[in-house]
Amino acid sequence: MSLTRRTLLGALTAGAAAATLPAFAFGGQQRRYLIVIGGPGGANILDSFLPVAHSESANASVLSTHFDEDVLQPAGSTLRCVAPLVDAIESSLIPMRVRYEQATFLQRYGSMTTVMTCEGSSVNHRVGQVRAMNGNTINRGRTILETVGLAHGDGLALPVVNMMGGGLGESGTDSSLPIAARQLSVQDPRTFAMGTHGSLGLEHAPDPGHLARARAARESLDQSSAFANRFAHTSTLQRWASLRQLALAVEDQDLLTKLLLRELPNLTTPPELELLQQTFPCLLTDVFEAQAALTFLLLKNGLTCSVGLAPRNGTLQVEIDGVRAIENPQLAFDYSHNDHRVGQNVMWARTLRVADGLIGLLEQTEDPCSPGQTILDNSVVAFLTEFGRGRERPADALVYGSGHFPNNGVVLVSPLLGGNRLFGGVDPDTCLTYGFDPITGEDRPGTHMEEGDVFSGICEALGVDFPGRRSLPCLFT
Amino acid sequence: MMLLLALTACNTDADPEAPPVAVVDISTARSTLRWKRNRALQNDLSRALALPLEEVCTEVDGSVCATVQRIRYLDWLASQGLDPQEALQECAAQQGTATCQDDIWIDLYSPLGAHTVSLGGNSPFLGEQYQPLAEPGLTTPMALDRMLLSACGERATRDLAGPIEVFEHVGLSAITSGSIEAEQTVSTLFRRLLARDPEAEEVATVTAIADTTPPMSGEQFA
Repeated sequence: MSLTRRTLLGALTAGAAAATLPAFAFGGQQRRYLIVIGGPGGANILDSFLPVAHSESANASVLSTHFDEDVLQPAGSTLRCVAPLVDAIESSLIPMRVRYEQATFLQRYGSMTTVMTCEGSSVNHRVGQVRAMNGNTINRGRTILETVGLAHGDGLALPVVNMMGGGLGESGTDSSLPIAARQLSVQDPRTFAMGTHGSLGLEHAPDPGHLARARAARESLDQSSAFANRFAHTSTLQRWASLRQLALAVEDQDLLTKLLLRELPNLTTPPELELLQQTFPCLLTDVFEAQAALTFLLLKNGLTCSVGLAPRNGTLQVEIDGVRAIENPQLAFDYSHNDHRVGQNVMWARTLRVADGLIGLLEQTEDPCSPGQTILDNSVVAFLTEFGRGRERPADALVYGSGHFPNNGVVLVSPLLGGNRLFGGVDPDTCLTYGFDPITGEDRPGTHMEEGDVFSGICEALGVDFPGRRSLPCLFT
Repeated sequence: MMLLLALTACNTDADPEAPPVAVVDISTARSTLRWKRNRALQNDLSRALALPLEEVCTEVDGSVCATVQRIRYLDWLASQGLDPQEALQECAAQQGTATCQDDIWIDLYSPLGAHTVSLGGNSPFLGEQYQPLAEPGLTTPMALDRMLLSACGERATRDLAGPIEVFEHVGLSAITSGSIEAEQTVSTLFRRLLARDPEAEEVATVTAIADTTPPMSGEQFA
């Protein structure tokens, strides 16, 4: 542990009166960032960067393969992708639209995109999501966000922020995780900023000097009341006292004006708001876009090192080219139960579009902790999901549903990885993905990688170690 | 501002007519404390300050801080980002009527509000969070202060306009720490919020807030 983390932990356990955020003292280790983009409902890798074309499969008629003309491979890319299935989308039962192409993502970020096959261990949404986030408990039940937050969050105001729902949004289960690395759950990024200050902007906000006096009186009472005398030694009250001190330190950083995503009376908006409105034009009506905007502000302002964001399960209608249509079907990727091809195509387009906007911003923004480098230079963007989707379809059917299926793969985007690589592969005659040798990267048909391998690979890229971490050096070649 | 002190002893709800219990000065390390979460907090403030539940706390953008209610379709549309006017239009369009005839959409009580999660609630239908936080988080103290300040300020404003419910001395142009008005205000709030009389030391600590230059007004002290 670094000295500053030990100092912070000591301050918390002793209930020190003044627990200020320690200055960044990392012992020389480069600060890294993790952005997890969740795919709730089952984001199937065969419907994005590991497609199987009809002509490649002996069983194409009964498997979830793609028309040859729908499988694209941008120039210079090892990875392939799926074209927008416009005809299928526009003729679907409910009016949907896409406004982004997977090929665009590979053209822009293919050189730093790695696809790694893997297999989940549950076909239950919540259980699968939890295991995707904690690597099936490879690190004592800590989530990947918490693990990275603990390693890289020294001195940050909000080290770990999770805006995802369901199992993706749950905290880890390790009670020994220091309080400083516990995640901050954000339900609505559009209103989150208001919760970072105890009074700013309120209609009845008192004079700051009066408020300070009231708080001082409260602290005095907290230390001398009968209630305090009785319960002062309890962990609950000690923890609360520490939290209150940490909150004051956060309040002093004026996060409300740094993280506000909308114009409100008597409040200043961040200077980046106009840029964010251009990048995410629906950020006030689309929670996912708002999450991406908040992610950018958190990283740019040096507040966070570990963030999670994801589309929601609710239907989202937008206007695309003058047509009002659904861009996020009900249940997100799980809409595949109703219409696999359209559900996957629409959700991958949506997810990659927002990811493109965020990654583009990180690529052009200086890392506040490493001048001369961009935030993206020191980041891993991991697309995590609970499972894939079933590979079978009724003979030659174009409209069919798919069930939950653990066999899948993940997408990692980072300059810290080799990039433009596929690790593992897919058997075109079964559409099942298979694993690889973690040392050499060679294909290993008949095997599969686990959630713990994905978890370990991400940590290894970010320089994070923990007992039981697996090594996947092939990812860096 | 006085209400910030309500945090200190937030677990008592004793019968005010019961005989006083002698203070037992035995410290304990057993943690039987429970987090007073969003709904309990809202209820307590509503009762103590004589405010309707929905008016205990309103945020700067007009949204409620934290409440619990049955979900209407308009609530869901608002959670999707529609402003009130857009929500009404969408509702009417979905119903095929000229105007929105909104009613209970999900007949289960669910937390709503900008600070629901911070204050210990969770919004399963609208926020896809199926479990509340196990413990207070980093933004809980600030969300709590916002709720208290909003509730207290609303009560003081209403009392100033009349009729007075809580702050009998809210109309005073100046109030000092040694004044009977300050002491009476403190006692009133302890009884309303903590169901007990304040100790002399507590009165002195709280009334000392008013020792400012220039002196606080009754409304500022409230």
